[in-house]
Amino acid sequence: MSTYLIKRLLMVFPTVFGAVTLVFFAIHLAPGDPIALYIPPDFPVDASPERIAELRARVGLDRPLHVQYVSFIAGIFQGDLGTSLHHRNPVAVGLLERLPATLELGILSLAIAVVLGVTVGIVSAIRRGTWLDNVAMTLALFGVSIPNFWLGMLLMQLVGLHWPILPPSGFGGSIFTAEGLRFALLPAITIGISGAGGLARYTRSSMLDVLNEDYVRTARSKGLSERIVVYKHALRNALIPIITLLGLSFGSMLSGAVIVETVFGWPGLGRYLVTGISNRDFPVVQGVVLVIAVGFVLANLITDLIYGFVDPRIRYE
Amino acid sequence: MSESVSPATGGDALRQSLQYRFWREIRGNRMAFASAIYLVLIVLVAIFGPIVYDVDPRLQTLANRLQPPSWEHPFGTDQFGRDVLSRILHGARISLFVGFAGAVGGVVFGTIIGLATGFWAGSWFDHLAMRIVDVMYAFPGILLAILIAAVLGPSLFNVIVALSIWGIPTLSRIVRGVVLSLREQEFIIASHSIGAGSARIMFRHLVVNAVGPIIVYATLSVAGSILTAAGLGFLGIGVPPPTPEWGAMLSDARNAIFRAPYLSYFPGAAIFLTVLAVNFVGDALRDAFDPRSEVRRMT
Repeated sequence: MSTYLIKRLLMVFPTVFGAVTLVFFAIHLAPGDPIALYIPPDFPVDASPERIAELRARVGLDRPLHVQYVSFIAGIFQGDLGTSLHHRNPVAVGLLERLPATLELGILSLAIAVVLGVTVGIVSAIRRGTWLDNVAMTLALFGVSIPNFWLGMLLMQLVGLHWPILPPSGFGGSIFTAEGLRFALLPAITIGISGAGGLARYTRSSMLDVLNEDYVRTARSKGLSERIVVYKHALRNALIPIITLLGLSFGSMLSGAVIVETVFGWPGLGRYLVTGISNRDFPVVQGVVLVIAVGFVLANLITDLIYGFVDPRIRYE
Repeated sequence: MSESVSPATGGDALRQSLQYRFWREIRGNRMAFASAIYLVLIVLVAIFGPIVYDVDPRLQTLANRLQPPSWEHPFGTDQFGRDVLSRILHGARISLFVGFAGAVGGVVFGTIIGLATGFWAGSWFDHLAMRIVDVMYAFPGILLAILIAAVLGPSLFNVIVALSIWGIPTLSRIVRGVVLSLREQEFIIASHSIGAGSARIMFRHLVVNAVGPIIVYATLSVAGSILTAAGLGFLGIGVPPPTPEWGAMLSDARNAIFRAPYLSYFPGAAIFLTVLAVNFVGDALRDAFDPRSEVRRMT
């Protein structure tokens, strides 16, 4: 177990390092002058070449590429993600302020997606071929196909304005308070429904695979009730591959949050990213993308570790 | 040409049976059949709609701002007084084209990378390319497309580039997997032994035999590509205004959601129904190609 743990932990570094490198080279490989991404909003349009050269030196783009790369990496390890052109404060500070709101929304969305998706998937697999299965799988495909920001706008109109059950938008503090939870529910349901579609489809096929296994036939043939066969023998084994999906789902929850936060005015990383895009504030865009990518890699690490713990047969080769 | 009918190259016999299986599956599945008809209709609407309903989608009439649907403006008007129906029809051209072109880009590059890495599996090229693909997977969902579109700046072409790169990781892994399973088979070993070149084996033998999974994932990636393009448009890094695009229309609708809720219905429904239809067809094709495979790509 401990070698598996260490090997899996060591695998994180190349991926994180690669993600950082990819973000760095995305700027430099793109056609055009990268300085265009670092021009502050109040910079005069007809700025003289000297002022642009001065800006280039200030941002550090005048140095050789390999020096820029090393200092970019060194900066990240020291928590320096650059300075926001719009807010004029360190991007790392802006990220830390907004990270908790996004994480809380992501966790609530994931909980909704898992409960909804896994339940629908199991019911579908047990009743496969019936009308219930057909309806459930059609709904799951709806969940996969609907643009989450449109779903958010519809829910907002229906549950926020037409029947004012929940606040249509805004933020009420941490989701661990009643008021905060009320505000978080609509965006979390929006993201959760989109994620539940994929999870339901995967759970169903995982469950169907297990229901065809020999040990399920053995359990049936020794006269166990269908209930025990399904819940004790099949479900426990079907859940193992689903665990690996949780890390992936957490990633899609985060990337879903990027858009849905904008719909509901949720003050998290997604809105920071989107205002960064509209203010042409590239350091902010870069910072949010990096934080989400690293968060996603860590979420996958955690699920892999849980996976190794739940199923002792799995060992990293 | 005698070589095109040999079973090893796939040839007409295989292509016919694939076509037959796809067609049988589509006809046997009511939802997929209805979806295929819907997709034909939406393409016709995109081509002929703007000709039949001849209203300028960019014409701003401020006196007509935010009007609910009426005879004159069947889908109402937006906050600039522009006709929403006309914008939906012209937007269909843009959104369908961008989604399709982005998916094609991802499929072409993904297939080439998958072929090369599968064919030379274990080589330095394979290791390098697959590590890059792993790193691209570290950017979940729409994030990779956001990064690329933000770096390149908003334009129609750049959105297609962003979507193409976004599609590469999935396609290249799938094609590589198929090639790995094919390359130890006898007909490939036989081709090597009669002195066929690498390019010939890749394009005349491997691609032909991988065409089933490629078509299935190409279809599913059209759905993902339309959805992602709409997301980029909604975020303001898609096709730039005033070009009508469904995602950007939803962004306008969000800004007027309290005054004119109907603005979001039409572009949202257009994206949703189109993506849903493509997914129904893609699912049916996958069942036709491989009845056992139920594992779906997570989006």
